[in-house]
Amino acid sequence: MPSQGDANAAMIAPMATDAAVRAREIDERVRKALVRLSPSQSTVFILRHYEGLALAEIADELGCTVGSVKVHLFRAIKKLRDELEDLRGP
Amino acid sequence: MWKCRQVRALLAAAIYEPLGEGDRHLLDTHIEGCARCRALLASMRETVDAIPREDVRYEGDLAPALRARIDTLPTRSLAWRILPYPIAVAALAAALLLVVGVPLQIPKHPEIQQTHPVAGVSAARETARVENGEMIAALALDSPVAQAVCEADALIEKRAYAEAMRVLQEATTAHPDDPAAGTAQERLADIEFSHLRRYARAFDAYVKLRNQFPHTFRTSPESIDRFDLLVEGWPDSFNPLYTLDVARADGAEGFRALETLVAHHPGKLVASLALDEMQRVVDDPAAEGDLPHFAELEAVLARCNNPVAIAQVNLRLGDTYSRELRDPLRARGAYLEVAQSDHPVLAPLAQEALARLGQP
Repeated sequence: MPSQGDANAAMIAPMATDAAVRAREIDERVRKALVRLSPSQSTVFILRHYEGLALAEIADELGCTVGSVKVHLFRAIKKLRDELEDLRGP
Repeated sequence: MWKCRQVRALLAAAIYEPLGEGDRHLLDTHIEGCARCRALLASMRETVDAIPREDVRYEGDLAPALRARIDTLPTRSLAWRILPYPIAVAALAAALLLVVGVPLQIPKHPEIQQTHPVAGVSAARETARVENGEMIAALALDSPVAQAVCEADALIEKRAYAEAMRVLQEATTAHPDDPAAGTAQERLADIEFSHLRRYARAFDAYVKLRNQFPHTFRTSPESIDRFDLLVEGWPDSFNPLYTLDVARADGAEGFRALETLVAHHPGKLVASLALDEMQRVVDDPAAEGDLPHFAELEAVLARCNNPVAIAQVNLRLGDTYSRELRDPLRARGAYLEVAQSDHPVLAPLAQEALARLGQP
């Protein structure tokens, strides 16, 4: 006879799967959107968002000014926002 | 009060990091009075929050996907043409990350290698770096002249142009057959053209690039464009290009000078560049985003007085209506204005455009 724990697991499992599918879908969409950014925009966004480098570290890493890192990041996020418009809530 | 465009870089920074006191004050003061930037900040923050931070690890064989991606990168991609070496390499790493989901360790520029290791280099990333050593080698990053180009790029970034040119010239003299010699010559030409703006010397440098490194020249659209522009400017001792520089530096005040330039060089490349600049000048810096091209051109048209300049704006407006708005009726109207003029260069161009549009 299934225990209460099994019953909870059975209820939770489909929800977890849905979330995973949704996360994968978002991830896929983000990757496609990133491809459409310019090389400098995607580089700055990836280094800041995924690698977690500070803006000053990115500037140091890329040999450019913090100001230009900020501008590339602004343009990257703005384009991503437009590309991923339909993923945003109502 | 600061204009929207001036605080926008702060919006992106504010999403990720606490701003310094001065920047924080500037941003707060601005968005307090600007609903548009407030909304932009909120929507950008919402977008960033929706993007997952973890990247998916790829378990399969990386080599085929990497090769395919490298094959699709333009031989002389924008990154290689205009970005300093570290950015170009980081862009390559970013491209690889997008394909395979495993970030490639970014090879550091020699000068910055000691200063800051990339945080959190994982074992997977290290594996990817080793597996793809062959690909990095194929890009000839290790050749003596390629190293000199990297060094020159760092110097260009610091505006040490004379030193950058010395490094490039010494390397190419010592290794004339190096695979990166064409790239070095392209950098020399670029320094003369876009940084020092010595057009006569830039002309010589692009002629040398074209004659001695035809492959580099042919695969660099930017070099071809600049060469054509310089050939066009040569009979006038490049004066139209200097006039364009001065007008550009004058910002909104330079509009009349740009109009005169367009009027004096109908159908020429320099007129086209001047018209680009006029579009930029009329684009309201406080507006949300950029104006659509047709709106910029209509604003330029409204401010122009010279009939030859007006005809060229109309030609471009016709192209924009036709190609971007798919509105042949308005395109025809714009072209007709020019076709009915008796200008020897512009009227035939408008007639050709009308013929391309077909019958109404």
